[in-house]
Amino acid sequence: MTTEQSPTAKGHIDGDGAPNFDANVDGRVTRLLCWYPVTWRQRYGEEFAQLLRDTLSEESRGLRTTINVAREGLSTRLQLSGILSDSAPARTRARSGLLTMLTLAATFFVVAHVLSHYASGQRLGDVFQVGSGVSAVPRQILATLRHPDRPLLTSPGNYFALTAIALCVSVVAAAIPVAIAWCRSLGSSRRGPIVRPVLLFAASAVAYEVGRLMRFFGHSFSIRGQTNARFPILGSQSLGVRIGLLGLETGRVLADAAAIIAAVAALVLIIRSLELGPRTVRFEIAACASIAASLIGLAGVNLWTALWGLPFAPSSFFLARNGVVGTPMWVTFGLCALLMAMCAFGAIASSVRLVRATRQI
Amino acid sequence: MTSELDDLGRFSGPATLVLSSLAGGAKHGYALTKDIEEFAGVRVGPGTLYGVLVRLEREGLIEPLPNEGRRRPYRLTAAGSTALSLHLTSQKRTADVGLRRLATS
Repeated sequence: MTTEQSPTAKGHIDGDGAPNFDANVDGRVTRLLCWYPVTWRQRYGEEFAQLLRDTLSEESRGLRTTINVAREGLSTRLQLSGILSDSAPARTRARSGLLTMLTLAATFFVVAHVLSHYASGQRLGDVFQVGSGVSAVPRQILATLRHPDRPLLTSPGNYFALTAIALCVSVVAAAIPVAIAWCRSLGSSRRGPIVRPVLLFAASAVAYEVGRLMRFFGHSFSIRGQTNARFPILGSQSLGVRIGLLGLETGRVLADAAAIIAAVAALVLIIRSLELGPRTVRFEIAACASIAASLIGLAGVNLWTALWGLPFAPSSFFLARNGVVGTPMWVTFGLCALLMAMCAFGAIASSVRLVRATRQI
Repeated sequence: MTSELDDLGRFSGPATLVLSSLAGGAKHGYALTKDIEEFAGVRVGPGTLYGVLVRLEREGLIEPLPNEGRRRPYRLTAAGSTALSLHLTSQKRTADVGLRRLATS
């Protein structure tokens, strides 16, 4: 047996009086091991740690080793969680397919939402929001019926809305088998740990949307009512139209809130499926807290805009109008459409993968 | 002809090196790294090495031996010997053809 080879370089002294360097190496080994999932560490941790000690004790910086271990550790996590591996149990692959699908669908909505708000044509860009995309076309159809001289497809906003709807439909189509599988496995799934983050985001999303509603039904962009104040326009409509518009806007709010909650639930489940240790879970909490803080901050901006008007609010529309972060509309449209299409295709692929895995359970 | 090693994807190259090293006797991780570096001039990172060891163990091509302190040696199984032999024969055939054609061109 040829097992006699072992490092003789600095820092690796067996027996008493080990130098401080060993403590440094041990610390690095412990940190490097964290890249691997717990179940893997239980089986290979001790021997792998010894290999790392041997390797690091003869390297001055060990950057290459760190990169190698990080890459393979992440790959192992993805393999064990079933996201990359075809050899993982069918139930694991089904779960990972569901989570990937949900995350991609949520990314679809988030990309659409974030990018649209950095467009110079903010009012047109707004239709990329899922709820807005769904509500824009019926509104345009209603307007066309009332004004036959304005054909439906002359407005660029309609093209954006139709694109958004087409992409939304593809994601929803991908989600149907996922929803079926979800319902089937609901009895055996662990729902307890997911409740707190979902409640946190639900609360922050509600705060954000309430602020947006206040802005919409109040003086939307200026307290003086000089630009695009919707309340006076709404006030001049008949009761039926007002109720219709209120329903459309409420539907949009609900769709946005549902998308945010789905995104967070999927994100938390994915993080948990990667078997991160208690230390790393802090990042999950920090990420959740920062996103919630951003939403609450946006709610504050909406409230500020509703009460004091746009010129004093740090709104993207204001910045874009002044050329600070404004981008040409077609760039935003292209980027949004590309990213959203990628998410939709990814979601469909995950869904197909999930269906295959579900058949094997 | 595809061998079991080809099914390991990006790990098939390092797997050939590991199996070739273990063909000379059981070794633990660090001894494997050093041996491969010596005979192939390739330094296999610890992450890559264990990625390969895990897969080879799962495929039944190698097996762990009892721990020697904190180190655990691995040895080739009969299936591993067969798979390595098939793979190297196939590679040798390809190499022979390539070299012969280079010599005549």
